[in-house]
Amino acid sequence: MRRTRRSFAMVLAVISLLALVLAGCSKPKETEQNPTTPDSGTTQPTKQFEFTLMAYTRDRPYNTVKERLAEGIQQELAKAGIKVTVKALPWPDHLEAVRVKQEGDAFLLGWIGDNGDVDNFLYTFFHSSQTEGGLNNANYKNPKVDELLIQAQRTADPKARAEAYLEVQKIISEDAVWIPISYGNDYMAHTKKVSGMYLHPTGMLDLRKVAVEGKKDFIFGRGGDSVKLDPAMIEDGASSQVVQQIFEGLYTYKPENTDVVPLLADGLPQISADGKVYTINLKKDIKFHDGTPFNAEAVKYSIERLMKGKTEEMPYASFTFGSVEKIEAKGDYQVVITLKEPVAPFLANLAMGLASPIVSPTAHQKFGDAKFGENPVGTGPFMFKSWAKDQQIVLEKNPNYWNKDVQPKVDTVIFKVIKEGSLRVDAVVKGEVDAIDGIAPADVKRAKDGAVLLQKEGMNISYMGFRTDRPPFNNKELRQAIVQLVDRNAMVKALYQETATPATTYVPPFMQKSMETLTGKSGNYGQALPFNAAKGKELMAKLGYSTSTK
Amino acid sequence: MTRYIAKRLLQLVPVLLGITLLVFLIFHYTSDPTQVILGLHGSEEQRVALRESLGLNDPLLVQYARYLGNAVQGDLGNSWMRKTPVSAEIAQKFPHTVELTMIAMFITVAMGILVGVISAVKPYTLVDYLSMTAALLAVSIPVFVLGLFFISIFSVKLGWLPINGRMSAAMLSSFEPPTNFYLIYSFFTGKWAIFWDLAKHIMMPAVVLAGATTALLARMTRATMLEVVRQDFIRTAKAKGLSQRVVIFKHALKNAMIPIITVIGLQFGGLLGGALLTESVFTWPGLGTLTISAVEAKDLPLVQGVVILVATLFVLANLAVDVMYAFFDPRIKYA
Repeated sequence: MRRTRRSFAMVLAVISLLALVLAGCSKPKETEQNPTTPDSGTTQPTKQFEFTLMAYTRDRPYNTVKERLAEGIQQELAKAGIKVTVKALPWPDHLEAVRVKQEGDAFLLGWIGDNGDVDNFLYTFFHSSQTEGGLNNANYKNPKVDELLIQAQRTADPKARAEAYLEVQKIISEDAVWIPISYGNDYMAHTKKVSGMYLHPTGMLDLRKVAVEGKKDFIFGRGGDSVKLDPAMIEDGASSQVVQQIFEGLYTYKPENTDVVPLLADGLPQISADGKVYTINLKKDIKFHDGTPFNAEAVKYSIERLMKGKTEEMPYASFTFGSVEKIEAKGDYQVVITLKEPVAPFLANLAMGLASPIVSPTAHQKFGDAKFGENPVGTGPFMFKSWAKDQQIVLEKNPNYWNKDVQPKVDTVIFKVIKEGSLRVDAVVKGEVDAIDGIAPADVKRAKDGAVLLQKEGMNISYMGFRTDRPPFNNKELRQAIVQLVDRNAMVKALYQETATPATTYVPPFMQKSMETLTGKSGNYGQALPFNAAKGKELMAKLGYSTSTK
Repeated sequence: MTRYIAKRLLQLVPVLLGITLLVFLIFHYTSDPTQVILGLHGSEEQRVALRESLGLNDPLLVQYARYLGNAVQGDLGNSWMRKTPVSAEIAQKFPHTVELTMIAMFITVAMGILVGVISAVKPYTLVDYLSMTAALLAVSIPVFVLGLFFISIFSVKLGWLPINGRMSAAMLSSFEPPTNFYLIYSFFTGKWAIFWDLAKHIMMPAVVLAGATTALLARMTRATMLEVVRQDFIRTAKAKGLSQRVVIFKHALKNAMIPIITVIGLQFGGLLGGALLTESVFTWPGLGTLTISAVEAKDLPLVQGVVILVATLFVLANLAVDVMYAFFDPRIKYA
């Protein structure tokens, strides 16, 4: 009897525990009070407007304060009597909630550009085809915008493209699809003995001109180790940094911006009138680190690998070469690439450090996809020497580097892992390493005082998107009101101090500048509605919402 | 005895089954690994193909059974992130953790027992109070705080020790050992410059790692010793005219060993699995670092591999403790 009672009690306890656990796991209740469109007859606006904002709890290059950004917006809008319910999730869960489960009325996200082309920002975020599984999570659909974006993709004329993109920005701004929030700065620091380092907008790391006074090796401290050293298989910055030293693509960027210049190619491509056929001549007398000659066959091999190989494991394969129909080798030093449709950003794709570099066919055949990532062979200024996982990667100078003008100055480059951000700064200040990246805003001052700090606006943007396809934000005036109620300048300054720049348009500042130079337009053409509390409140009142803060 | 050991080893089977199943379920109900592997750029078709090639579309039980089937044949699968065999990844990281653990355990045993014995022999004196307060502090300060504190003093302010890492970058680039037991290898091949560099690097993480366990052991030793020294056989030993040292270390300590061994054994098993926070603060390339990156990447095969290793080590450490009981106390017998 006693035994049954005891076991009964135990079962009860287990059940209640389970119930507790399940209750904890289940989704937090959201206060969903979608305000229906108010009667036009009401004279006394009494309703408080509320919405749910999805936020993430990991720091990103474009947002180093994590979910505090959502709190910033919450505070800004509270000044107009608007209640924002923030739902902050870990990064992967946030992506799933925003992109797949379509949760929330608005969401925070950001973007780091890939190829330096405006298309990579505006098409990615505002073309209607990108609503399904893409990154147009505002679910924004506007036929005029679609038309302009495609037109800009199909033409190769830079001026015509810039005009189309500026027009797109103007429409988006009028439609108030986003609140563009800020551009995060990129930072690196090096000791006073180092020369020849610079920050590139794309995050490209060019070490060819780097020299260290009194030393023949260069030690670069960073937060994480590379995953793979095969340009086809990677997506992360830590892998890409090393890959860029070992491998080269047909094209690259100018050191100061994202203009495309030839690298392994001999001159810019000849593009057919319909924009589909790219004829590219190659430089001669270049050899891979293993002695294999660089030629048209090697280029064909490298690109076809990303079209026909195990592409499900290649993160950038479809992004970079998804538009390619075929590639042919014409003789030893010419390749002809035919696209399915004319895609103007294709040339910029060929300059990216990810996916597009050319690999030694001999070495890749020898090691296969599985082992090539640990035995990389390219044409770059440095050659792979050794890799102690989670410690360091060692590269050696390529003594036969083809470019006689920029022969590498150091004999050895070591990429050393130092996980803790603050210790990384200590290491460069103490001279234990020669340079570092990944400097948190809190450490910027220390790095500036103890070493040489490099700083540049990054090719990124942090933004808040509205779900434009459903209530409450399928109402354009409501979106316009919210955009004007957030004082971005003050908020960004308070949250990031000097480490981020308030956003004006929908693309990074250097892109805006080059578009304006091309078209002769000025004044941040197509910028988002600026802060205007009076106008915002007026709109809210017109929509029947109270703006009193009580 | 052999039968007893065999029986205990058999208990490993249900432990491993339970724990791998648990990990499997947790991963199954959290988010999608294709998001991690392909990032924001992968297309939907790529995601579908990847799920297929990772076997994520099969029923859960089929996936689990397939994993077990391969695992009993010694194949723990390939890491999703790095595409390398899990067993190779672990084999690469384990030596780093073993060396760190060995040094930390050496500090723990030497310091813990010594401090505990001194405190017990001179209870309620200044030495006792000081060492027990220090022990309390060491138990309560989180390791990453202690680690950063040590680094800021000994590396940044005083400049005596390197900030972190396994060894100096320049030295490691020319040192190509056939094994990852760097310390042992450099010792036996007489590469003293390298050995010294390694020693300087291992000092701080080992002390930080040993901190809490040393304190625990000291308090445990003190308490048991206080108990033992009050017993009759100690008075007898003293009456026979034995020296203080023999009484304390031979008669008293040996009888206080049972709880001490228990603590040592369990901590040792735990530390061998990799100290997540300590390894992370010091960028130690061991199992702890591997575990963190595997969990962040939701790399199921890699996490499973680490979990199996850690569980096995725990069970073995427990078994070793039980076997040692018999050695220290002949009254304990296993049949």
